[in-house]
Amino acid sequence: MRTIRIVAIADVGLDRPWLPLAPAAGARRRESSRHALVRAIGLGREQQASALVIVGGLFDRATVTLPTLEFAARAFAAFPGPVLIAPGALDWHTETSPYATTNWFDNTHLWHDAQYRPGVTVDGDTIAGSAWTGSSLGGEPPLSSSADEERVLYVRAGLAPRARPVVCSTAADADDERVVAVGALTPAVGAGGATVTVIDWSNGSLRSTQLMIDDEPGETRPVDVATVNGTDELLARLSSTVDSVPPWSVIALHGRLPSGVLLPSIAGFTTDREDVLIDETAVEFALAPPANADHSAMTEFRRGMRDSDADERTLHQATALGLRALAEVAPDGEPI
Amino acid sequence: MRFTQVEATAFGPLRNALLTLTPGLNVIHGPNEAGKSSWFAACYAALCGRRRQRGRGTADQADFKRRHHPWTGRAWSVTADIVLDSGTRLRITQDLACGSGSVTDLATGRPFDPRQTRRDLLTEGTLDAARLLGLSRDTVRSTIFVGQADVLRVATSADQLQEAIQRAATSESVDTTTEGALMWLAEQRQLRVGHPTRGQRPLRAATEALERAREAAVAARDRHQSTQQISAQYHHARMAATAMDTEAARLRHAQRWVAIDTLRHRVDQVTKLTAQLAADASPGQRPADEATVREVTAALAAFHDRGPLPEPPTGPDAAAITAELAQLPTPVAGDSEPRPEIVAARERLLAARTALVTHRDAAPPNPPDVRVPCPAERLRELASTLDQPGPATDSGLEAHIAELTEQQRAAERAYETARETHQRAERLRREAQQRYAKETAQYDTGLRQFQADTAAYLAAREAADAAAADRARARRAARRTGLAIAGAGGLLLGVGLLLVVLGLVGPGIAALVVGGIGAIAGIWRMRPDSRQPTEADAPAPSTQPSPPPAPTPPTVTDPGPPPTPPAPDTRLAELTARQAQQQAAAATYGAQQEQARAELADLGLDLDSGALRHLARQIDDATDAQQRREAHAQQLAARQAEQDAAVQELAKLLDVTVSDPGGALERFDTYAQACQERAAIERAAARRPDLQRALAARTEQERGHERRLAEWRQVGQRIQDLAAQITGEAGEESYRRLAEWLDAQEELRAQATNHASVTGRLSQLLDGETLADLEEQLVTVTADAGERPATIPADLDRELAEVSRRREVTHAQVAKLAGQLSAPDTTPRLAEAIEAEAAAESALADVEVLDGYFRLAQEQLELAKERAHATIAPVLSATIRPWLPRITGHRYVDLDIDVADLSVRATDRDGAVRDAALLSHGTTEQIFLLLRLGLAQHLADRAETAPFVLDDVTVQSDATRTLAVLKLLREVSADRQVILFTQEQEVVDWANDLNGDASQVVAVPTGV
Repeated sequence: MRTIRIVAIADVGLDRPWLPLAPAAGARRRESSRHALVRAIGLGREQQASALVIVGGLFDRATVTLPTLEFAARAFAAFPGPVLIAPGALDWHTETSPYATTNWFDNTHLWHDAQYRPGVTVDGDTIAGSAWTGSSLGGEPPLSSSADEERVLYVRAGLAPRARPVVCSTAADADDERVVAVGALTPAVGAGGATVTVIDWSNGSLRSTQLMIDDEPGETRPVDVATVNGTDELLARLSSTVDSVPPWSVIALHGRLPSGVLLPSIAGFTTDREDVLIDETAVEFALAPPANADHSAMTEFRRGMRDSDADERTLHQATALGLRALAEVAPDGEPI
Repeated sequence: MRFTQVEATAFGPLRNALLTLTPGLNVIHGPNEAGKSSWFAACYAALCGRRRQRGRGTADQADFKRRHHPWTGRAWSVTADIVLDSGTRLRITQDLACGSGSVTDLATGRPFDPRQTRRDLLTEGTLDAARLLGLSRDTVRSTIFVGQADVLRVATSADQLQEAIQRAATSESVDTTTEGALMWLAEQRQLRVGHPTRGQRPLRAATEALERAREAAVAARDRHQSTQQISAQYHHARMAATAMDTEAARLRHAQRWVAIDTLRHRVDQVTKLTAQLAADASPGQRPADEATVREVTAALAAFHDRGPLPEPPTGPDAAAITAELAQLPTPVAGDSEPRPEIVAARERLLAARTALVTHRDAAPPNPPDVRVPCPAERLRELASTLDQPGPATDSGLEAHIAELTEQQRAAERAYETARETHQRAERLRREAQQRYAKETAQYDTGLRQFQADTAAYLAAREAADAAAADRARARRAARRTGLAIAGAGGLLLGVGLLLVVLGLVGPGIAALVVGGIGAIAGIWRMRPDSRQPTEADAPAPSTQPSPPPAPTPPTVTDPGPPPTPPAPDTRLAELTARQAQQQAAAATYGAQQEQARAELADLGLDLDSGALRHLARQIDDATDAQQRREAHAQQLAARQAEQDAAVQELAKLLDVTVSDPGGALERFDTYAQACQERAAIERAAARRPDLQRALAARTEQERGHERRLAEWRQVGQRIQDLAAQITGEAGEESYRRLAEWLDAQEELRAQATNHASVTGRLSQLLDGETLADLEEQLVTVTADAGERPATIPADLDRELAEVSRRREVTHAQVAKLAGQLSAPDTTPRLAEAIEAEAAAESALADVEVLDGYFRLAQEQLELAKERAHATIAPVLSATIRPWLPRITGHRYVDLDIDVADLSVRATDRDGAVRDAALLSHGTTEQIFLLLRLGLAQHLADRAETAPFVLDDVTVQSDATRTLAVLKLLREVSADRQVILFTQEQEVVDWANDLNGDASQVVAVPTGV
């Protein structure tokens, strides 16, 4: 049995909205996913792959446009071998899905059944696939029970049963040599760059290589807010971080935000980098207890805020706004 | 707590300088640039250190360093020795360069354990001994360390007093106000949130942006869904079009076989018709021409339809009607019936004659004869006069009038007497007032003289007192000198006597002589000096001027208002008028009676009122009867005239001459008879038009009958003629022969038509071709037709047409959908629209969240302000209230701080409340200093007494205000240590005048 080389991609995400990116950044991201698809097909040609396999997520079924489908059809036609598409959770197949109304070229094969069906046979080895369909979203189909099952490679988006040569888009078990998880060609913002998986299949065994085709993959950059001394310092640190991260990155704020410090979104922080997201969801909030003996308005304010039934974030940020107001109207201190 | 000494080891311009302080008031003075402010700062730094941490206050700390870092060297330190209220003596060492410090217990020489005071002595990580007071380095700057600018600010704007309290109520650092913070929050909320429906602030902008984004997203979704539907329709339409193409091809194939079958059938038909024509014999007799056939047919039909012989018309013929016309009479002129106006005139004549006769029979009787030369009405008036009673009179009226008249006269006399008395009293009062005015002027002149004399007397008395004092001092000096001389003389006398006793007679006598002279001289000197001025030089008490006697105000009483004249008695006037009326009525009555009696006497009538009234009624009856008779005569004449007029009217209408009613009525009867006769003639002549019309109709009927009779005969003749013409014989059988001829012609016509039909069908089938051509075509198309379909639809053409139509529709649909799919789309892509919608939602949510934060902060800060005010206002009031009477010289006795806005109001001793902004600058300054102390007490826990350190706080004050502040500080120093740095000599002088106590006045130490 000779070795069959397969190039697999997943989560292309053509025409999908990239929330919470702004429309302009989303458009850039969608354009980059088109480029990534073209580069992946070119890589498959360079690798002289026997087949190109798309393991789910070719497009967003709800938003994909006809020109994009035509673009994908033409792009697949440029691949010299068979192109096998296994629809996934984002692009599940029905009789009225964009897959059904698109004129695919002859080298493109679409699995449109929830059961594993053969797609292409190379020298007696069969690549079978299963589609996510409207009637069986995510349901795992049974594997065939033929005696020659070692000569069948199963392709399915999402988790797949183990103990078979399986190509899927989610790693079910990283230690299982018979399962290959295909990386995303257009991953989520902050989750790395475009990845193409090259699979060599021989005698029932799989050997895969993840190739990063992005020059500057996005990342998630943590920023600890617990050590900042004031809102201005936090904004300054955030601004410098924004300037330093690659495109399609996430700046994840974490730690316990000191009392009196405003979150960037409340402080009105803005940046020109629309391809960078700032995540404040992991921030915790520190609240300084008011002194019992102090009956100044500032301390009464702290005390009143502490006793209010607002959530922690509201409590912290409203307190910070009040303290900021008190600080803003303070005159310059008299020199001594 | 108090300072005992402060050592500026290295601080600003000071180096190794020591300032020793007392527990009470310390006045440290020196000129400008002597280092007072540096010492003030050194005291602060020694107590509080300086902030080391980054963050807020960095600018202040940088300024502090710039101002007070030693001019040379790196060392920057200061030390203070303090004594706590407990007596614990501590040494605080502050290394300001590195921000470290230490506190040493001077009693043990060991580091001080802050746990003894249960306090943390660190503020933001560095030593801050202000914590011993319960304060911090920020709060002491705002309370017990008072700079020049602090007081100056309050002195220039009294509102600062309220603001200072508000700041104190706001934060620990006493440097901001809640009101300002609330305004900042409101401004920021307006700027960063704004109104949801007004302006273009973020909230409205985000709301509108979200609406637009949602609309765009909906449009994009609709467009996307529409596109997907169109795409699916396009896909299905293409499939349907392909199916239609296949079906159409199948039907066209069947259609070809149908054409083959048709061609084959055509060939068969041509073959058959050709054989039929060949077998058909040629026609012999030809049918007559069509015109002849139609003529015969029409003649037979006319003969069949002519009916029986026409009947002549019935009734009188034209000749009879013509004769009747000739016998009709000619109408005559005149009325055929009486004219209405003549009939009406006759009716009026009859009515007038009846009325005249009736009226004549109803004549009234003649009137009675009554001859009295007086009208009946006058007789009734005279009777009424005779019957009229005399007027009534009031017998007591005159006496009553006399009584009231006497009362009125008595009142007038009393009024005259009172009026004269009042005039006399008024004259006396005016004279007394004139005298008092004159005496008052004299008194004022005397009083001015008395004041001048008193001033001169007091001056002389003061000079005399001064001279007396001088004399007393001189007498005391002379008495002391004389006493000394006398004492010395006495002593010499004693010594001389002793010497004499001892045997030293010479010296003893000499001593006795000298002593005696001295004693005499001393005694002489002690006597009163007659040369000195005596008490007699002072002005005698008798010369002391006495004030002039004050004039006595007049005691004449005010006579009051003048008396009022008596008012006329209205009852008297009323009674007098009533008496006059009674007298006038009696006179009128008498005159009327006398006149009536005289008139009756002239008429010769009795004075009987009843007879007079009876006679008046007789006169009235006679008058009425005469009037009725005259009226009847007039009416009779009128009716006679009416009758005559009616006779003339009727005669005129009848055109006759007659004067009596009977003649006129007879003439009318004659006229009516003539009318009846003329009416009969007219009725007979009126039949002429009817007879003339009947004659014309009859004449026409007779002509029609003649015409129909001629036609009826002509139809029969036509049959005879045609039969003779076609069959060669005429007669009774002409109609039958013509009918048989016509049937024969019909049969000949049918044979000719059938032959032409076969020939035409053959020609049509061949269509210009020959049978051989058709057979060849059949062979050709059959060879190319392929396999014959199993079934051929019965209605192939219709089905093919339907399929073709549907195919065209489907292809048109495909083209249309393809056009729609390729049409340019201006709608944003759905993915971008979704992203835009999510971004807009997120933006709006951010603004709303921010708005919620602002709202919560504003609400809580407002509540905090109220709570803080409620806490601090009574504390400060209680602190300042005891001081207020003292610092205002008891002008203000109470002070109140409003909880609502912390405004300060003072109450004076009269109970009037005044705004503190209206107080004097000096009072405001003192209240401000007390406020500082109050704040210190409020912010601290009162466990430790805080010192009070002031830097040139009086430099901007005038002497009065400076003195007031100094007095206050002196009083404050009784309870706590006061350290006052000053450059004013006035302050130093004041401090030096203080009696020795816990205060001290020292020059500013300059150190090495």
